[in-house]
Amino acid sequence: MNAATRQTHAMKIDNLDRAQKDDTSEVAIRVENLDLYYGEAKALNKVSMTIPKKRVTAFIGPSGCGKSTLLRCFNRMNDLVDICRVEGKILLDEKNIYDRDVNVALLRRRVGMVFQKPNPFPKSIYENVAYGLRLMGINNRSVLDEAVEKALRGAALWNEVKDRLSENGMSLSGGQQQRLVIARAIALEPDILLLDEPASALDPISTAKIEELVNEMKDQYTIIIVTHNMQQAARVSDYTAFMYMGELIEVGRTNDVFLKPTVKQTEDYITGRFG
Amino acid sequence: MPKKHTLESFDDDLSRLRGEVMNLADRAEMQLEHAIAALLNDDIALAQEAIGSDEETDRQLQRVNGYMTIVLARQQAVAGDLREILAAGRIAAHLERLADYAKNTARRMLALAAPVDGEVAMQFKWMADRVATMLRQVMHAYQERDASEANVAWSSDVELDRIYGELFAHILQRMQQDPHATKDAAQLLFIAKGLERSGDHVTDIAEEVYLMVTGMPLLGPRPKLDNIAPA
Repeated sequence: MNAATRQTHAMKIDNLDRAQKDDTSEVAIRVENLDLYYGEAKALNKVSMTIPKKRVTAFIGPSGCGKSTLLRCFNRMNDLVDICRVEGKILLDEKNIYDRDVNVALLRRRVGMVFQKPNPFPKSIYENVAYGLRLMGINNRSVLDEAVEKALRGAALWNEVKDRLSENGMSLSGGQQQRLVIARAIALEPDILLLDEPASALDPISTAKIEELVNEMKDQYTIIIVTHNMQQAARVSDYTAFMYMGELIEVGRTNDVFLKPTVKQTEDYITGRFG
Repeated sequence: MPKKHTLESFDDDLSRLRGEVMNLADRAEMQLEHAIAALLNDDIALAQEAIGSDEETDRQLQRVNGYMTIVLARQQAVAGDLREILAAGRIAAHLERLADYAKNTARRMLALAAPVDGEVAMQFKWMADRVATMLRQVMHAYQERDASEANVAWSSDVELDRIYGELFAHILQRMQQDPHATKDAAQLLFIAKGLERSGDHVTDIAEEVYLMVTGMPLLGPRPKLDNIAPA
């Protein structure tokens, strides 16, 4: 076994260890009695939970259970829906992000989001990653160069695009586009990354690369992922939350949830005995 | 019993796997019955049948393992389903060992100079019946996913230990009284030990069933007599 293999092996054992031992991670987000309404319809019902810092938390549940709705609450994307109303609290560093004095643009810098379908801008690869920085008023070329390279490396895309940064981002494959979008998000150095089914439109190899990337990124970011792929949740996450009909049914360590869930509804869902 | 899977083929796969494990249990029990009947009736043909049928038992174990692997690959099982699939493999390994002890009983019977008689024969019969009863009970618990029944089987090994202790002392006494009987007595001691170990395998199966159903290990000391020198 060479040194590199040994190191990878040791890292993987460490990941397994962490999944089994007591976790002393700090809290990144605290959700308190969160209700969400679309008009009269209640989409989230008294959701309370904590999201640990620099861990991967996966949300699973059937379509319409509220997992994506909850995810969009974490950076107030639901503000864009006119009929949406939120009650309760989401605390980021003990500050309720729904307080009136919160700067939503700054919040979204801290809490980046990646969607199911890769959505690069029709611009060069370079400009896609630099986009958010330019919005922040950063136009110094050397600063941007450094940030773009760092973000592309962080998204495990640099080696594939370093010689064609001026090419259009739309020319990349679906998997590369998704990593480009992740690079765009991490260029802003967020604390938290929200991933809404980031690999559901990708082939198995691109999916594996995204999952590997999630595994690598969790040392730097708190990652919250919504997925319909339960094996993906089992593979990539440290914690798993199961939602059903707007309620948080169970949340716990992924190993516990997938080996011995405490709530029967969770077991029925993850073992395919639902509906 | 748990609700049916949305994907019915998953239920079919699990049911087939359970069936294969039950077939293996039936084979192990049959081998045990044949080996003990051969021992008690001095039936050489039956002993040879018990030995010969071990090949099919091994093939049945391979079938369980093969099927278990296929189900794991096809169904991406988690939670109770995953425990059930893993339990099938571990239970099958215990059943195969149980059948091995039966085969060894038959082999040792063929090496005996004189038939087994009297009290020793009765005690062997009692032990074999007890193992068979415990086995049927624990396999019923497996089939019905009944943790309480598994728990009862787990606790019922103590009588087997007691009779084994008595039998051990009895055979030892014979060895001391008649040095010419030492060779046969040694074979009988191994047969007795095999039956006692068979009981242990049944209790191990009970632990697997309990874990499979509840997700929790059966904790605490199992009632056990340890009143003899190890054979």
